Amino acid sequence: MEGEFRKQTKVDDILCIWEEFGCLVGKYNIPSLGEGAPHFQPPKFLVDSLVKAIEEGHNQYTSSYGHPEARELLAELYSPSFGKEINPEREILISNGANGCMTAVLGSLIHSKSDEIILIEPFFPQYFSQSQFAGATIKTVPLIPSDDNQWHLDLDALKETLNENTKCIIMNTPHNPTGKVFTKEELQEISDILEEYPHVYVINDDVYYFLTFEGHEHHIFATLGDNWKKTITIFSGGKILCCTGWKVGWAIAPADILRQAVVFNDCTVYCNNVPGQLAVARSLKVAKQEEYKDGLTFIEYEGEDFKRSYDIIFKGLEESSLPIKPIKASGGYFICADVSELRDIVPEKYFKQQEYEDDPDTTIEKNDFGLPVPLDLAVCRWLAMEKKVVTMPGTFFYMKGSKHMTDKYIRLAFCRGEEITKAAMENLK
Amino acid sequence: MYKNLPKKLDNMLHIWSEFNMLSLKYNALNLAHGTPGIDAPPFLIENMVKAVREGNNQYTAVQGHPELREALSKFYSPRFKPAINRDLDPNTEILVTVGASSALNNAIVNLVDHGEEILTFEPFYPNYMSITKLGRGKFRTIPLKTSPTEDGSALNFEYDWDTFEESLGPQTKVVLLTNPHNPTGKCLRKEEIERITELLEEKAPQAYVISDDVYDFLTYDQDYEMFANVGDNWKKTITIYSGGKLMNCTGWKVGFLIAPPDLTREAALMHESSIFNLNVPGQVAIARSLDLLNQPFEGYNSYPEYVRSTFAKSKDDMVDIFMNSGIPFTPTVCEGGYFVLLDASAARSLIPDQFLTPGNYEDDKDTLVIQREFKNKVPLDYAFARWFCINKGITIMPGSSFCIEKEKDMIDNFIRVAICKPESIVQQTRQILSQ
Repeated sequence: MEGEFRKQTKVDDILCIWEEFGCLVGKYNIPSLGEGAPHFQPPKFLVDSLVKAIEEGHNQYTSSYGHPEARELLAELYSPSFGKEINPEREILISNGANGCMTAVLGSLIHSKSDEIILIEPFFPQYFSQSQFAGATIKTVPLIPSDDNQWHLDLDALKETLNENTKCIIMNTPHNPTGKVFTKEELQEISDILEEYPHVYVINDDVYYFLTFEGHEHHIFATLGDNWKKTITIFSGGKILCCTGWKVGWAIAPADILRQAVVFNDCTVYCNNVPGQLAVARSLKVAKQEEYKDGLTFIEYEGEDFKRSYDIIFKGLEESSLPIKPIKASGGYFICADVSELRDIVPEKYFKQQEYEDDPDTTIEKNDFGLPVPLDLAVCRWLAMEKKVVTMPGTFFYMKGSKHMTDKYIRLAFCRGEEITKAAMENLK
Repeated sequence: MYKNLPKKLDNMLHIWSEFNMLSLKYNALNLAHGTPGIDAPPFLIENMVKAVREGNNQYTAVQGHPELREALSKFYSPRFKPAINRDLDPNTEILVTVGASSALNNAIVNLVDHGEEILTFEPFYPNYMSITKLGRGKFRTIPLKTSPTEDGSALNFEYDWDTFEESLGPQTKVVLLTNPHNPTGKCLRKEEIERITELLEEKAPQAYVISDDVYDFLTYDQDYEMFANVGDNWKKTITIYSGGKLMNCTGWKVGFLIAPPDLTREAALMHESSIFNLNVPGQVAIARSLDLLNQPFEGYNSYPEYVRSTFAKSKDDMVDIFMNSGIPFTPTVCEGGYFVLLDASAARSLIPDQFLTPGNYEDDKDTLVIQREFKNKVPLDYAFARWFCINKGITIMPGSSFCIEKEKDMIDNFIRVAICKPESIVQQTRQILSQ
């Protein structure tokens, strides 16, 4: 199995991307709109289901495809959305979160360094690590805000970047970090462009699919035309049911594509959180169909909660004395804002050096993206220390050295709950 | 059928799937797969329920929940003391992974590069080979030798030191030890560790050692000896343990990697890039249960002792039952772990021709069982395992599935029986084989 290629031995050390701001939150007790952790606890019906699964004795290994009962339930639930009977034996993989599915799929698709993965920038940083882990060459295509104050994919860049070495493209809708929801027309445009490159697989990270604002529908790329045969769609139990730490995610794809991913999954984790898989699968119907609170299902309830926080953030930024310009989101967990006008407001020290804490004994590892510190990173550090709000710099969501790299944007999460969101926006007045 | 899918890894799923499928189809007792037959202890389950209800349900630190890493430092520091003369640093020397499988994956994929060799003993746990291929490394094995015990009633496994020494060189990047060994159960003696250490210093000083010690608490008549705390070995050793095995919750998939800071960091980067986080409430539950492992359980001094004693007795009883089944087995000496190997070569004459000749061996001409195909010769252990399942009603694994496949050279004498089972399963085995 050895080819002519050179293997990528290491992945970039980006442990501190999450750790720097995560640690600041705890150390200085700062309201955080940084990390994408939902403020909800998993609903009681889910917790009870987990306890039941454990007490029933589902505590040992299961199939590398995932627990058979869980797969049956998922196939039943998702078949209507895909417009076909999903085969639970062969067309579903349950792995260690959506993350685990992505790792398995990329690992099985990428054969050598000459294989290219296209990422849409800005992207969830994990895609980059996973692509490196898989040993691929990474290319990027940007989303850019337009006059309508919404993000749009640069289709010309997509056409220029696709070539015979492209193995797959990773799409994400609703999008992290921008909150963009791709319309059916937009997905169709991308689909049409991809027709000229029929060898390219499409991986759709749809983990936020259930969180779209009114008037913005989620569409499954695999259901357009005959995309099914080349598309892998990934979902997250952790996101739907607010149990991100349980790490239960699933991929739905044709049997031949999934088979290779399962071989990979078998090799890397073998299987994962068996009682968790069952509890999640057994609880999805309830989350989707039964009343949880105030006449709403659990999914509707969390959706409305997040939308309220989104409105607080959007309005708060528009009314803030600081020139932070929000760009409309249509769903998901996050919104981006343009901070280019803060260059003269943020004190020099945040641009001149990486260390900004007053604590000489600090153990918090600081990210190093060179000097001067990029504007967005400087802004986030200043906002954290002096305005007492944690946000994430957009730089983290671009490939180092990317020609689309920009330091204009920061990301704010609206999954954090009204209390924290209001407190944060107070501090930004 | 999509055409251009690369086949990077050999599909190892078939090793298990054929026998699992046969077992279900013919309603046989499954002693093939290494699933422990004892459930997780009540205190662990209580801690899990508590951990979930308390709200430990979102992401934790990438390297593992801080509470778990502290608890692991407390639990494992005593055994690493001879090596480092201090406690393990929970922030830099411990990584929590998706079971030991994932720890192995992180360690191996990082360490080997194109052309570099991983050396291990054969038979071996099949995933070692897949993971090495994933890491683009070269997988090389040294077959264990067998010799009769003094009274001739059983076979012992031994290291082939000459071949081991010859195999070491500048191309050796990792020596992979399994201690106690799967599937032979062989435990490393202190002298053997010292010998390996010396040979490495002489012939492959650049090599790292990964010690897969997931059965560390399951030694029968032998002490568990560690590689990492002999001489200077700490610096170059990654030791791997399994929470799932230790507490009979293999499906929770929580494993531990312990190594010096540089090696742990590198494994953490692999982990971060491919896994990111895992079973957070499970991590907390295990963290809180590690202390309780030292308390009396069901009349035994501790929970691990309870498990060890149960499996030790099951091992002895199972071997007895097989030896008295009327089939001419020769047992091997099993010093630890979940499995025992039995030499079944003398049973050839009992096996009907349909199992010994290539092709569909079932009476069902339309079988959906995915049968591993052999072109010229069916290895004896495969023939035996297939016949034994269908005709005798017990599923075991052919030993050659734990070896590098070269059809004509295959060592095909041994079958592997899972002994990680409680009394009730032993009883069932007895009933079935006495018919």
